[in-house]
Amino acid sequence: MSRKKADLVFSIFIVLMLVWMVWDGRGWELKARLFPWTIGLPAIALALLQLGLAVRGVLKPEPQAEGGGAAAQPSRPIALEAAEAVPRSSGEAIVAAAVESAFGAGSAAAEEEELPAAMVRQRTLHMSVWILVFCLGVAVLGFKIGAALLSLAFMRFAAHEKWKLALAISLATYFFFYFVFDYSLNVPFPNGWLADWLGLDALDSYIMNPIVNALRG
Amino acid sequence: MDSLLQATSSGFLQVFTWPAFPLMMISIVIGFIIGILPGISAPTTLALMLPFTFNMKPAEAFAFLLGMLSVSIMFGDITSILFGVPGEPLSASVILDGHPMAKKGETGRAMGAVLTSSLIGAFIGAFVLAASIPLIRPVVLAFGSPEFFGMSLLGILFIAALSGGNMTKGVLMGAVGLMLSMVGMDPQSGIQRYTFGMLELWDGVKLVPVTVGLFGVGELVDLWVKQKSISEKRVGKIGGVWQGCKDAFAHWGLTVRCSLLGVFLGIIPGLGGISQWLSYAHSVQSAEDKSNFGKGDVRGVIGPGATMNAKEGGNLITTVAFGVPSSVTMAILLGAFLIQGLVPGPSMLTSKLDLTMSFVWVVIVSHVISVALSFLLINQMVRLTEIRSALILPGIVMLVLFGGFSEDNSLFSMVVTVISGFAGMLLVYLDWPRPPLILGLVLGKLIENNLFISYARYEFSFLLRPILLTMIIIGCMLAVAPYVQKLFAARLRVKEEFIVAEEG
Repeated sequence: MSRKKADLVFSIFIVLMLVWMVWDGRGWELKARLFPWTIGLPAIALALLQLGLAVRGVLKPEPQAEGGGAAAQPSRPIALEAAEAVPRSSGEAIVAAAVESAFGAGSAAAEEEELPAAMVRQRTLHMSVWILVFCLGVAVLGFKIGAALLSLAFMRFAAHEKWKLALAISLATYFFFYFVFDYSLNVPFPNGWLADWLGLDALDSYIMNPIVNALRG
Repeated sequence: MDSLLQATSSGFLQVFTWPAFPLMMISIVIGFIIGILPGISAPTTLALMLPFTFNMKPAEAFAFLLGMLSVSIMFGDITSILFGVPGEPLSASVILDGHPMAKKGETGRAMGAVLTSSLIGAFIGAFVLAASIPLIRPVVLAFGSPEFFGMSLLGILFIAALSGGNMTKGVLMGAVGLMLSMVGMDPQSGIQRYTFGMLELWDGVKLVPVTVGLFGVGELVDLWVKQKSISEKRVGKIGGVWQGCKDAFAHWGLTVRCSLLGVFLGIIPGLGGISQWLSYAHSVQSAEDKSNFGKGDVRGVIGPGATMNAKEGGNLITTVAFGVPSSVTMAILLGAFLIQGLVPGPSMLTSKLDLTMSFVWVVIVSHVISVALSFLLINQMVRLTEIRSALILPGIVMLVLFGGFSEDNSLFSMVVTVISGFAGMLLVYLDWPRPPLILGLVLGKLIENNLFISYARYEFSFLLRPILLTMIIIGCMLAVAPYVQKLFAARLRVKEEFIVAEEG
């Protein structure tokens, strides 16, 4: 789906959401309905306008296809836009020249963005999945041990770091969560679904509790 | 006046008391490390640190957050100088002369200049913040609920108009943020709004998970996409810092003018993004010999540096007094107000004045400390940029997840974080701005309360109060402006084409 079509779908979603939110409030007493309708009704009008713009965006034939359709490149357009916003002055030409040399072709800022679109897409997907895995892992294994094991897995399998380094950083992550959040701030971490299912305490407590108790004497 | 002096000294003491000062030191160090690490911007840093303030008292929390904010802003400029890549997307004008200076081997001088001018800028910003309080107080006290209702909406409108090109999308995002803030038990009638019967939603959509998700997750993915540390090339030893320091004083007038410009632009919501560019333009404009700009003129570094940090003073004025933040970072900081149970507005200038004054001191003290640290440790700090992003990614993923979780210690909030994260990525991809959404969510409860009080007292005649009426007119003008502009531009273009065609 092209970006414009996706934008259209999203605009439809916004319209539907706002309409539903306003409609849902029809039976409420005025106190509860006042604010949703004050905001919601004008918002629906605006959302319809946006929907119209999005439809026009899809229907209008594109002048020329954007080369490669690389991901949004914030630095250059913003820099140039901002430079245009600079008040007209005698130094204007100098500012424009400086912006060109700093953000134009071949500059460090421009080189930052030279990634093929397919790679950007693949890596975005890759990382998104990893974030979901982290989230699920923490829920299943518990926060501290989940953090350690998943960090290890990520550094080893996604980033191909060396075992030793990966292990050291995961251990550091574990101890950071243990001492800062669990021990000092008393954050009540859930034990994790796995431990709950097995009817156990947090999995790492069986190792850490004796050690901490021994250290305390 | 007497109370102001008292509050000033009491605010000073609050910064130097036991937990507040060490917390500020810790936050400065964290700000240092995260600031110089590749790819994590000031708003994200701030959002990630919000959960840590749940258990703090207000003075401590703001020492912690403002301290970090000061450092990360300063470090945006240092990244720009060293690598020619903007540390913060919108604050990139230091690159224009800073990076050429670094290439010429004057890295130290550029840094010295930017640090010193930042410090002076921060001082001036803080001073203006303090000095404006007696002036602003009568205005704020004259405001009633209807005016605050209008002011907050106007603030969202401003942010929407200036935060990302497309006005319609910006305002819509603000409205969606406001609608999201209505989820949960309605405070007036007890009716459940948009909860789908889910117990977790009774309390409403939580601010921290959404903020952390919207800003944090996208940057995480971005880090992985770019997959490298910002410095492929090693940075050599940095010397000549004192020369730059002297430069900032030698161009005293420029430093002060750009600082004042920063404060002024900071007061106007949404202009923060281009303030550094305006001040760069001013540096060029006011210089007699312009030939060296763009090739490494120290004045091109001093001006923007001063503006960036002075801006926060101006930003704080509107945030504290009216609850209208003029930048993303301030919108997130406003979230910290809510976490602390503080309401921006009159009380911050009367009964809580000492807290407001402590902000002034935090800005000053944290800048002094971070500049001193930079001078001492800059050579070691720069090494951090050589760290591969893969090594810090898991830690940051965990911080993001923990940030969501810690709002109410529930996995549900963690899931909300992840969902907001993906929603945020979608918004960026489709070019819908995120700041108005956050601001709507932050301000929603406050706006609803003010609307409710206004309506209860005056029914709908509150809309005719003169100040509110003025705000409505300004708002309408602001909303229509881009379309009118487009219309005129289109006409102009047609005319030009016509002329060209005639001549051809």
